[in-house]
Amino acid sequence: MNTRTIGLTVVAPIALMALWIGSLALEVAQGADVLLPVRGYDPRDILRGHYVIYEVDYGSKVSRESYSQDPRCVCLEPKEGAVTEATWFGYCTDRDPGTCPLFIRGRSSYAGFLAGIERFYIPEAYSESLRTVPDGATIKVRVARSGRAYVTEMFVKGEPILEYAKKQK
Amino acid sequence: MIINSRRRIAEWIQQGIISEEIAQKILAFESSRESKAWIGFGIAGVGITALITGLISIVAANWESLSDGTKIVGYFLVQSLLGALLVWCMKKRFFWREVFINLFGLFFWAGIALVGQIYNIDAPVWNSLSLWLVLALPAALTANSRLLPSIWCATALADVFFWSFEGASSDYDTIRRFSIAASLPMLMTALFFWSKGRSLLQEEFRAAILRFGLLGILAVSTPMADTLWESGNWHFVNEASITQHLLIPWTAAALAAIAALTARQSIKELKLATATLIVVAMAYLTLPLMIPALDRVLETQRMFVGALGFIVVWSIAAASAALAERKGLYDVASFVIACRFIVAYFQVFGSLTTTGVGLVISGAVILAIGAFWDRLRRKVIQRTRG
Repeated sequence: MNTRTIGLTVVAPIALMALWIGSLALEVAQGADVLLPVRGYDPRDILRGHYVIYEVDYGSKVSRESYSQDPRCVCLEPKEGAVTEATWFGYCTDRDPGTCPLFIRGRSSYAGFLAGIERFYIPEAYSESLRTVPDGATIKVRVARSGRAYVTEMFVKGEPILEYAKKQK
Repeated sequence: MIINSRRRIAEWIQQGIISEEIAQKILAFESSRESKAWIGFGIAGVGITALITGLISIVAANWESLSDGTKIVGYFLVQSLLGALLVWCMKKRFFWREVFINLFGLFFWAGIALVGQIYNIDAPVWNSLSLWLVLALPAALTANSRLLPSIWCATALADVFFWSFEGASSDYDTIRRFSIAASLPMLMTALFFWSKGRSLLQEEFRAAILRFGLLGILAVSTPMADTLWESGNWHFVNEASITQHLLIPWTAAALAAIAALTARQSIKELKLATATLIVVAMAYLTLPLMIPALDRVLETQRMFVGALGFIVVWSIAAASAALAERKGLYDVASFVIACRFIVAYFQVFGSLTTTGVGLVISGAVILAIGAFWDRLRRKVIQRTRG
């Protein structure tokens, strides 16, 4: 096996993986934080593996619609330490960048607006204490300029969810 | 292993197949070879298993206290270590080279799952599968063992399957995506025939693309086509656009058929049978989507055409298997045909089975099919031996 083959087989995939993780980390680092309220929507499906599954409450502007392939966007106005509500909801092509600089891109469905932030990883040890999504639960979301969003933390009445789960054990 | 060899060799001497002298030579060769391989690999295997289990236990016990950065750095260290070990074993140690190439390719799953966990990414399954396919492709192409190429091909089929069903906006969209996904097994088969006689792909990867290409064409497409024919309620997809989308799988099927017909080192009848199988399977799958107002045709007639198409496709597969002297595929194909005959019988005479006469007739049909299948099978065995 020559150097070129070794490079392709071993180095190229590792470099590609590093590039993917690096781009994700950069996107997350450059994003803006918003706090969004969440609630459980199906008592049989709260925990899937090690993940808490929930529905994000974007406020009255976001309605449940039939599934569509066309991307939808919600505009947000970040509030320091307080929960945020959507200020606009519609097709991403109709979004006005001037009035809506911070937005989350997703898709509409019967389950509501889905943006890939509807689950949060928890260690297995706390799964018993988190059988239901507690009242007053919120998620801290890092919103990138591209409209992609990442959940960075989950809280229950302002307390990190793992601290809350430890107290419930 | 050596005990089995001794028993068999004693039988062969008794039957006069080999002489006492050749038997001694075989036993001497097998004894020296087996002791070298299995004792060494056994001891090393136990040691490595204990070491890896210990490391995994330590990491698992402290997983929650590790920071995200530490987890990612740890992952890259293990992935790079596997890569380094692979390069180290590349030329001299075949067994370890294959162990590390498989581990190296499969370990990308750990990286993808780790990133998904750290960033709470809730993406469709096909996204993760596609990423792994890209990352593991060089390793799968280089492997000289079956495992990684087979997993890669199975993941590729699963990937297009998930892509067809995840996120499709309507039934029409699902059918459109499924039609495009049906191209993959055709392209895999085309690649197998095109690379035959050319030293472009490793033999293990070629074997895997044929195995999974045929699996996609036969085991996935035929039940799907049977369902499409039976339900027949696809009038909403009978638009010009669906025919345009079907051009993609048809182009793939044409490429596969041409590749089969022009394959090197293959007999003429086998080439023709394989090309026919590809074209007939594609027609069977896509015709219910193309025929306008199929739902106006009587359900029994649609069921009959569905069952007939199923049997025809699998019969051509059985014929191709016999020509290629693949007894295993022939057995599977003829067993599936027998099962479909029985299912067709129950579909037509379902109510009769509750009566004694119905049961007698169905039992007789099953026995007749069994006897017919066994006769054909014997012929194939004779042919493969001859």
